[in-house]
Amino acid sequence: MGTLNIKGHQEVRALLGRILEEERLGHAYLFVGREGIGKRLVALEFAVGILGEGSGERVLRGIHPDLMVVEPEEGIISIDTIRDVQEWLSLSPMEGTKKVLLMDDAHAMREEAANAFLKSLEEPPISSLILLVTPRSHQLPSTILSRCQVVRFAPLREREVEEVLLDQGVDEALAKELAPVSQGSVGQALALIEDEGILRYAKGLYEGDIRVSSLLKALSWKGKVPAWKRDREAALRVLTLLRGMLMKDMERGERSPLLWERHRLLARLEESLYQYNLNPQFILEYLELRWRSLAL
Amino acid sequence: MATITVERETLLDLLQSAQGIVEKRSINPILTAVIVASSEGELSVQGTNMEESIRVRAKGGFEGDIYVAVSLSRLVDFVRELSPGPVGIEFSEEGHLLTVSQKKAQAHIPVLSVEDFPVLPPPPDVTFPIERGVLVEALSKVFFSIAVDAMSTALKGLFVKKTEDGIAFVSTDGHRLSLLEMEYTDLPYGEMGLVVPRKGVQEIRRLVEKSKGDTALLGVVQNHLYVSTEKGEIFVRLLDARYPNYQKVIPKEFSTKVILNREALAKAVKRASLFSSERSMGVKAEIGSDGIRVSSMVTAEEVFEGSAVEEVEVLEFSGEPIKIGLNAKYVQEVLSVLDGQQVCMEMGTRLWPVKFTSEDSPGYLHLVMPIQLEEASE
Repeated sequence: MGTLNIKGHQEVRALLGRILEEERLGHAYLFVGREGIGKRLVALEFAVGILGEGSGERVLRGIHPDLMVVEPEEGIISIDTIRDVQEWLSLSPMEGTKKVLLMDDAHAMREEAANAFLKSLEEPPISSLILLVTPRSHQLPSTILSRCQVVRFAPLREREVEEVLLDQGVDEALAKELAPVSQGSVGQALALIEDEGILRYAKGLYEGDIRVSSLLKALSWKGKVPAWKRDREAALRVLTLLRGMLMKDMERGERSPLLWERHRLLARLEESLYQYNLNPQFILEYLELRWRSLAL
Repeated sequence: MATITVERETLLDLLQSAQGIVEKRSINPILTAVIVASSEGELSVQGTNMEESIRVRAKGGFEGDIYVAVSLSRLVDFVRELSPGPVGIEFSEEGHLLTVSQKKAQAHIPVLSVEDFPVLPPPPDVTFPIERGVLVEALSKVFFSIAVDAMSTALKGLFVKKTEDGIAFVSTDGHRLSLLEMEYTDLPYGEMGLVVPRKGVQEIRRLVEKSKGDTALLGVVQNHLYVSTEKGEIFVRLLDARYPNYQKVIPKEFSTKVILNREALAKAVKRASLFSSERSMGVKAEIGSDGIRVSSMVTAEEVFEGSAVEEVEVLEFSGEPIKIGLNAKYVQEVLSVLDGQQVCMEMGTRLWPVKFTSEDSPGYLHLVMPIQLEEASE
């Protein structure tokens, strides 16, 4: 199973290992935790454990007949997909004694899809195990939540994020820089590499020497994404990054009122973006203004 | 370079046998392919959709060893357009091409990697023989009651169960039930309770019906039902479900029993149903010692659009007179699979299932749930 190369999550993996060892497998599990921390990898590892020896390579290549992996297409898991899933679930395993359904980003099921899927959870097929994975369990209907055993994943440790980044060929200096601001998510760290401009901007803002003439200029190369979406994502990322940096300082024991003020500012802006969908450009401008004035 | 020659009809027959199973389109291209293999004078074609897998063969002193995976629809479409007579099949390793030729016509079809082709289960270690004709009969008597669309997974399959002294084939869609019990000593399985998907049963029927030879072999391996005949073998993946206890719905006693001419009843039901509401497709049957009166089931408003009624002679009658509603299609379907000239109907109350049997179809019984008669239409 070394090929999966999972870092961290020792407790969860030990728990799953014990479940397999003691043969007290439930019908359905829901893996919950931040985006980009390796929940799906752990789910695959669990699947290999269930499907048995010799399944590892085919599981990784995605060609094991007794494993079905479902993920959103264009952001949603449709009712048609759920019908295919149910068709697949209705059959006995092809090779062994168990089949595994792995549904990543299960919250992407629309209401009708979730309702249809509920049937599979209510009357679980005899030989199938259902593994749902999501960073946003609150978006799942309670009827689904209540029928799964929930397994919570903690964010990765800084060192673990760094190790994964190095494994993926990120250069050492960058990995060291990204790991502390990634909030325990490899996914976020990798996204930051793509958005190096955003990272530079956030750092500049944080350290008080903004010479960045404009963030939007730094973003101008990301031409493929529609402007509003690009700006919104950028703004969110900046806010998340700044918050990560604040947290780091607080962890180090700094407790100045300035930190708290800035923390509150970020929270307020995040809320405006998420809940009220305010213009991201406006939010960034306001952020820049307030952030500096708070420093004075 | 290996070359074999085969008659077009033989080749076409093999390919068409796989056509019901192999998918035309698939995300996984290998599932649209069949393996064409020739060795030791036998030519075989195998295909799978991961639910049903088939391998059919023809003997004929073919020379040359071939083992390739190739798109079935390409191959079958081309072969179908050829004239009767010999067809050449040639495989060149270097070009990764299968060449199919007849006189001056030639097709080059790219081959796919045989390593990617799904591994089929091995034939089971233990099988048991069953007369081919008997199996064809058995399947036709229970196939039509398998649920097409049901909430329950189990009902979408045919239940094949080991009983005390034989095998039972059971199917039900909740409105009717078919049960065929067959004596069979020395069944090599201690226990057996398989739920075979409807589509799989259909493919088994196709293979067994098209085969020659007296016997078919049945067996179970790795969650698959295995059926083998002289023509080839088929593996059908079983449903992952427990079949409900069907014995519970079969009434032990009935209060009315009537014996009728099967064909006369079938025709009367057909004629009466022509005027029935489309929704119910029902007929009313009033049964007494002096005969059975079959009439259209219509609502009070539809009465003005016409109706039909017919008396059918009763050959034997015992018990209480009764008036019930029945789904005409269900009755016709069971009457068409029963053997012999006579049919026996047994009834309890208006809400009990009606039992159909025939002396000439031993071991077979069929239940139909009656339709509730609306007071207005009585």
